[in-house]
Amino acid sequence: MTAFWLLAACGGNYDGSWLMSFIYKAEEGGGAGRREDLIVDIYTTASGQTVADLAGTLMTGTIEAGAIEVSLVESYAYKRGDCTYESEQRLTLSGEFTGTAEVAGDLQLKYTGRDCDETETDVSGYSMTGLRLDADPASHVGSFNNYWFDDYYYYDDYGNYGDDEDFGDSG
Amino acid sequence: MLLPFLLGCSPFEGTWVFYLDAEPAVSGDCADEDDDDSSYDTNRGMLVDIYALASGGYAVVLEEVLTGEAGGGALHAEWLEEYTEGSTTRSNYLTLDATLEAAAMLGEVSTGSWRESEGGSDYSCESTYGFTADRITSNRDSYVEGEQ
Repeated sequence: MTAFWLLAACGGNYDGSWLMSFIYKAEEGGGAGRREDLIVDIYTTASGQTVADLAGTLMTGTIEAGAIEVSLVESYAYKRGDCTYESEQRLTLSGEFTGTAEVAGDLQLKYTGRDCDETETDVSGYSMTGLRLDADPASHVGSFNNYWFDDYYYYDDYGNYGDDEDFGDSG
Repeated sequence: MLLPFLLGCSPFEGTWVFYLDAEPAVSGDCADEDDDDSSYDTNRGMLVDIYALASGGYAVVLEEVLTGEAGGGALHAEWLEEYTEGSTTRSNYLTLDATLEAAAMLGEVSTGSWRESEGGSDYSCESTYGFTADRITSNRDSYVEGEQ
């Protein structure tokens, strides 16, 4: 099995299930060091795209030079009086192999918004370390409690950033 | 040239990543409810499983489980619920129409509802999303199958 994962790592093959640990990096305020663990499935598609499934939130991208980068992008625009409001939030997972079955990288959420002439950018994120899971369904019966990312990280229609799941998800 | 053999005689079967249009075409009584100047776009995808049935049809797991048939290179599947309260009958439905183009799937997903009272229709609303879908080619043995 070791030889297989060595080949997989050298080839940049991220396909499979991963236990990823995310450590919050806060520049302002509290919360730094907060940790969330997720099982993340990574797939390859017929068109050559790479898809990561973070608890039901799909992120799409590519693998280049052995490094993975997938993202989920949502953009809004609307007019309010004479002003045009535009926003984009981009959730990006990036990483690379640090061992035969280990990866490390970042999960970044970047918000950019423009309201009339005012612009705003906010970046927050997590460091990520991942361990490949042994995919033997016969050896376990339990389930892993993932949470839905959108419940925690969202911007509402007015560009307000929140982390309170009581506000619902952004879907 | 191997593709037809790999796909077998159930070419729609498999796990797909669906990318639905961010903004649907809305028709019916709700068509004018969202007439502001806002726009929304996203690359958000969703995983959709399509199974071939032993009876020859297909089951499509897309929020609800749609069932249907393929013919002439096209797949049509639908889900419908209908219930009656007094003299009012309500219905919700979901339909999928798709074709294959090379390794991709293209089509439309429509979701809607209607209400009928005293023998006549008094409300209907339908949202239609165009979509493209990309087939997952990863080996299923690489994944744990815990509920998420």
